[in-house]
Amino acid sequence: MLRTEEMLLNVGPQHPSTHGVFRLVIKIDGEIIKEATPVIGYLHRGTEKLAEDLTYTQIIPYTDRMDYLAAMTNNYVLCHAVETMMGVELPDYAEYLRVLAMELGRIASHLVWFGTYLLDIGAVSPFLYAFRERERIINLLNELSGGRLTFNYMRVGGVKWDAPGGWFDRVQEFVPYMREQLAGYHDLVGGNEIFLSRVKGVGVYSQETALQYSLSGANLRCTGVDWDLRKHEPYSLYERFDFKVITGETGDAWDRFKCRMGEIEESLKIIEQTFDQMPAEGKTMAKVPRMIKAPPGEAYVRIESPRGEIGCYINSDGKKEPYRMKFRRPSFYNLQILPKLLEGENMANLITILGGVDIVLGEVDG
Amino acid sequence: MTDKDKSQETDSVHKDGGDHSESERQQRDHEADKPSSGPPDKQDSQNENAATDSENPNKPQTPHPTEETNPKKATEKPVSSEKSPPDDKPKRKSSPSSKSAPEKTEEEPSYNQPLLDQYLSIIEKDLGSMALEAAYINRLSKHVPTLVAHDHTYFQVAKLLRYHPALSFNYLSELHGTDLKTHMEVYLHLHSFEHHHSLALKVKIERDNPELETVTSLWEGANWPECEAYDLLGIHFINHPNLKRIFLGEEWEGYPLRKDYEAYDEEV
Repeated sequence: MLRTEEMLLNVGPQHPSTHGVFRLVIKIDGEIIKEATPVIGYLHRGTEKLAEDLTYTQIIPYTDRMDYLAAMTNNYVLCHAVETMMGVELPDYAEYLRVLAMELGRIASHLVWFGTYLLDIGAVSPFLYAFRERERIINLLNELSGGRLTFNYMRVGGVKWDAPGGWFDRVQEFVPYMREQLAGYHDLVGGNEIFLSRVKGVGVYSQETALQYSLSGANLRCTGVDWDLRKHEPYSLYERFDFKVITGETGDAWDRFKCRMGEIEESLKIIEQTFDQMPAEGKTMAKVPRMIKAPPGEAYVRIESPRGEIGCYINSDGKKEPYRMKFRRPSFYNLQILPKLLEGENMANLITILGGVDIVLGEVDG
Repeated sequence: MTDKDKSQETDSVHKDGGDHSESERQQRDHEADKPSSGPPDKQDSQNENAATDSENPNKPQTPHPTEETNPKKATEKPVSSEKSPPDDKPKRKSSPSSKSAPEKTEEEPSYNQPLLDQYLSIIEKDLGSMALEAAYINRLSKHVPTLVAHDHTYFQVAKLLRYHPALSFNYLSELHGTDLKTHMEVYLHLHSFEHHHSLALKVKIERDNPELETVTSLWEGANWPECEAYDLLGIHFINHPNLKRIFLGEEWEGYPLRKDYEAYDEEV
């Protein structure tokens, strides 16, 4: 038998496939990974500490910078936590605007994942297609909020402003266009034998393992757990929409791919239904005091972000700043399983597995 | 609850009227919002109708997944409690908007009260009546049943919550610590995928030498969150497999999320 020697290999922190500053120290024996140690914290900005000196409205832009690929959901979770504590009921119109913004953000986030994931494992053209479509969403959200990635659009009690003229029409036009492109993706990638052999049966874990490791989002649903907070702990107006929770069966990278692509389609459905239900006009803000103060006490709320369960904990002493704020960041929890998944794996599967987790480092490091 | 909130709202409005320097930064935001504010009553009644209308078709759907994923829910208690959350949803939805009876909701026992009673009876049976320091419904946090354990019973309570068949909180949603100046607090949000219940578990620990048994043996997912609490608050989790300063690095001095932490650079 060929004698091999254990070798230490450092991946990152500046490595394109880590999508940020993430370092992975791996011990390899030939082609086989013996041990993998993730090193994080390069992007830790102390959001929670900073939040303690800021008013609730001032914290909103900071949430944009955690998961910068789906900032709308981050905006929402903070506002939702404060609204829950204050008992604010939002006008329908504002909630529909929020749902539209969040679902567009979800599609954009999944498109980035789709493009970069395939780029990581060697297919360049899907990246170009995905980013072309994503650009349209980014432009739409830019028109709505004035920012391309860091929107700062939501406020406690509603949204900052109404959609500009013609915006709804442009979103409506986007839906069939995206659907057409999505079919193209499936032709281009979903049936590609090389891709399938790269992802099928790779990075498999069971339902129990997924729950044990506190995974959420597509990482959890790929094992067959029917769990989507939009459906099972409905917040906002998600009770009014008819959509499916996409689940996988085997819990491999291929199932995670199918879950995320399926979610794009479901988000499109929600956007369509929004237009059916939405009042033509309405208030964008509920009646809230000028200075937002959460009542003394604590609250933890959680919602479904594109990456999984994002939560916000507020401990308030009745002042205009939170006493303690904590964000449950899905990527941070989802990444924990990585050493376990990589152990004993072939080197070639490293990027397939890491990419399949769908991490955003701004969120991992908080 | 709503009554109280309202009084607080009006209170703060008055206060803020005089305190412009503080609120000026926010003023710009609200100027944009002001023109769109109108009479709220109409919207609210619409809201309520729409909510109840649309909930009805969804209602039978919600319990389905639990039934499928949980074939052995033969005992009576979980069944009754499983049904209670969807039944109660309209109540929760409409309670803030129905301004006619705010005092009632304050006095009425929470819709999660039966769940809490059930947890308490199980815990008392297994661990005795002294295991918990307090137990209540946190109305601010979507009526989540909240248990406060002693630091010496914390692990036992957590273990029972994890493995008892009628509880089986098999998913750790969140774990973090808070510095409350007089003591530290660790907060866990748990979820049971078998019964679809949520629960908050809290434990108070001393501040000078904060130590707590790790729960990584119960939930693997507690590993990094405990490291985070150690890194930012200095809470030592005993028997943790690899407790390290996950964000800041071992050479960092002090624990930033403690309230008496002095920032290295005052400008930050």
